[in-house]
Amino acid sequence: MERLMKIDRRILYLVAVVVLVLVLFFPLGLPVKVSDLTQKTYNGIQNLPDGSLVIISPMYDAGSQGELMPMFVAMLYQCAERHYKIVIGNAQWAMGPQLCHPYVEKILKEQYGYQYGVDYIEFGSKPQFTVWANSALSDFPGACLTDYNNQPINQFPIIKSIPKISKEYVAATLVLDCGTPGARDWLAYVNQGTGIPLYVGEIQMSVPEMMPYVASGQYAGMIAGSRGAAEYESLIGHTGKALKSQDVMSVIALLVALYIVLGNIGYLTRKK
Amino acid sequence: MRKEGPMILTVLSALVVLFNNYFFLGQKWGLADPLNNWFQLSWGIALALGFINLTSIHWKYVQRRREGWFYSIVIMVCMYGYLILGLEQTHNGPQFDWIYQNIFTPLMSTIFALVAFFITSAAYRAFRVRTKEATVLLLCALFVMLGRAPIGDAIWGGWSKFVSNWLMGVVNMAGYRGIQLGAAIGGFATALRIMLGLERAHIGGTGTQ
Amino acid sequence: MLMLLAQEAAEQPKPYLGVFSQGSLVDFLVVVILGIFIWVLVSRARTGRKIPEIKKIAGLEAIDEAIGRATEMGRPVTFVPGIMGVDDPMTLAAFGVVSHVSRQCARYDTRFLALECDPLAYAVIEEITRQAYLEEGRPDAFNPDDIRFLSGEQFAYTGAVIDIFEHERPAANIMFGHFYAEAMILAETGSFQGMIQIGGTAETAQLPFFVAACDFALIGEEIYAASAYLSKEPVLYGTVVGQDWMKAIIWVLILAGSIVATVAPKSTFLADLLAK
Repeated sequence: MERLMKIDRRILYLVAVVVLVLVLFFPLGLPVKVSDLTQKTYNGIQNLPDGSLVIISPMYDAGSQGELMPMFVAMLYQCAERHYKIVIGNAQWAMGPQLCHPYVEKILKEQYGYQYGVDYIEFGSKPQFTVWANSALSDFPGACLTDYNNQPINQFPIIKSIPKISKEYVAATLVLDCGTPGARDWLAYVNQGTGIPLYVGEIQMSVPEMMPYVASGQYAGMIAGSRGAAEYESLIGHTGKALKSQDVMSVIALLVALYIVLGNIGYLTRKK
Repeated sequence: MRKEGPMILTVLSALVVLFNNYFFLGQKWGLADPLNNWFQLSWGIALALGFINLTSIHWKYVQRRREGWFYSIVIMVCMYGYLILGLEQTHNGPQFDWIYQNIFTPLMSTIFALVAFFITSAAYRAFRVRTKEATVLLLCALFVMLGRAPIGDAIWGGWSKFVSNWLMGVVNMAGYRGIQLGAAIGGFATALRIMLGLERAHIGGTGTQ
Repeated sequence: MLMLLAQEAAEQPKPYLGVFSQGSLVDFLVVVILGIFIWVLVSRARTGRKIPEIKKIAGLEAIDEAIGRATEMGRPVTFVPGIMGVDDPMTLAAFGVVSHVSRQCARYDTRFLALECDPLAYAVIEEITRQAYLEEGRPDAFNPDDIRFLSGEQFAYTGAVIDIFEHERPAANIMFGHFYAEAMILAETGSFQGMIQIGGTAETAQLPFFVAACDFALIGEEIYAASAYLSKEPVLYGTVVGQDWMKAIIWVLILAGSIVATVAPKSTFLADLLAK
């Protein structure tokens, strides 16, 4: 029994991979219960006034796109259904807009008939978040200068709807966060001062750290990790990658629990 | 002057940034903006130093035919090749973007995916009922893990609510607030120590004045 | 023209008390109060008066043991200062630890490998290490190739560090600074290799991984006390005590806030006061 305490890691990984692959081919179809937090986030975005302009900021890179891309896609669907004007971009996360661009084109342009420069715009990634944010609070076009395709941003009609980032022009900011700068920087430099509600999509690893901001109301809502993304997808009625991955999450959680139990059985029955 | 010079520069820069952040006139005049630009420039120059360091090390590996020297050649080819491609095409260039989207991005995702497996082995090794505190840690880990997956709700309907409303929303939040407050003040104090010249490790000093 | 000027004037944010930016007065007061505490305690230390001791921090005590272990085994010590830049306080805290570790390695003739993700941090750490070897009278033992900038990208850096762990097989790995997802990968790889590991970060999301995978973990503000603790200088001890005095003020504010929130839940007096 003591050997249960010293199982080779390679066996643990092999079993995890086999189980993972099996579940992908034979899904369990477990229902995903929607939490209060995700429901609150969904309601908050859904109930913005008609014709609102929202900023979606994908502050992440390839490492976190597994968790955050489904949230981004779901946000796009929700905002497009409500016909909000959408401004997409970030600062200091060069990969974010590049990763998101194909989805933006596919969903907004092709599926919902959004017109670039009129109904939505992508301003790409700007250097130095603090400098960009301070500048955008008084002059958004001046802070951005060019769009994702390096064209002068002032030529697009949608820019006239957002001369600066303020509550008057921006109904909400939706930030997908995985590090620094991230949602906390948006809060500190933009949302706290302007009063614009901040909705955050967060990786599971950072969710415990962000709970104080949710509790204090500084974050108007939060989509917490892959589970939150799955709940959000079920609310908007779109089965995306997050919902499909929940069975894998369940099985891996059970497997890790089993490993912990086995390790402790070995530990407790060891010869002292 | 070798140590005093950088210290004076540190203190002056810190005072400018403080003035810019806290005082209305500082923000109006944008005093810290040139400093931000110079910081970006110095980062770029230091990146060139880093390039030289990497090249020097890997070139030596190739010369000495150290184990895995072939990969040193791969590193240098990729490093300089992508640099030249980027300079020629900019980040929107077709080949540059293709390499970014189809090679670099999947590689990053792959390494990040390793975290899941490492968490598995770390949990197996670390969560043992050695002490009362370790037992509490173990139980919390099990509860949160199962509560965040649909299987938790399948076992007991109120699991995810218990986890998110009480464990995460009350217990975890209290602990995190305490750690974050302490860490924030610690960060403040570290910055003040450097500004006041009490800490000089970053300029190669022994630490105090 | 006058209307345009008036509009522009109306749009500009107004200074608070004629001097401060909006929402920055309390921040500024915190800086000033902390500065006063630190100055008082530093003055006490300089005049030789007693400064309260810092409690024993197991992780910091273990640094010298880890270096000793590496010396006995004839294997290197690796130092990983996190992935963020020199503008991050955790990286600044790591510099203090680098100074101590490199000095010890120079003293005991143990190979010291520093692996950086940020080019500016690389430049600073190279200088710190060079100076440490010089002050220990071992300038010949300093090898600039052991101070390495690996990559500016998080996971490329992680892959490179793992490779170095495999090839160089260090006996001790000290990780201090600002880490993100790579913390788990590095700590667990180090654990596979059987090296003694000391991990410290104030990035709360990564603390559980260090606690689980490292032999010693430093939590939150302990890394900011590291420089003072390792140098054993009363002047630096004084700054750590100043932090604790500041925390005491915050405890009082938290208590006051809890009482106000309980007695008058709709009142925003304290929140508005602290937001000035």
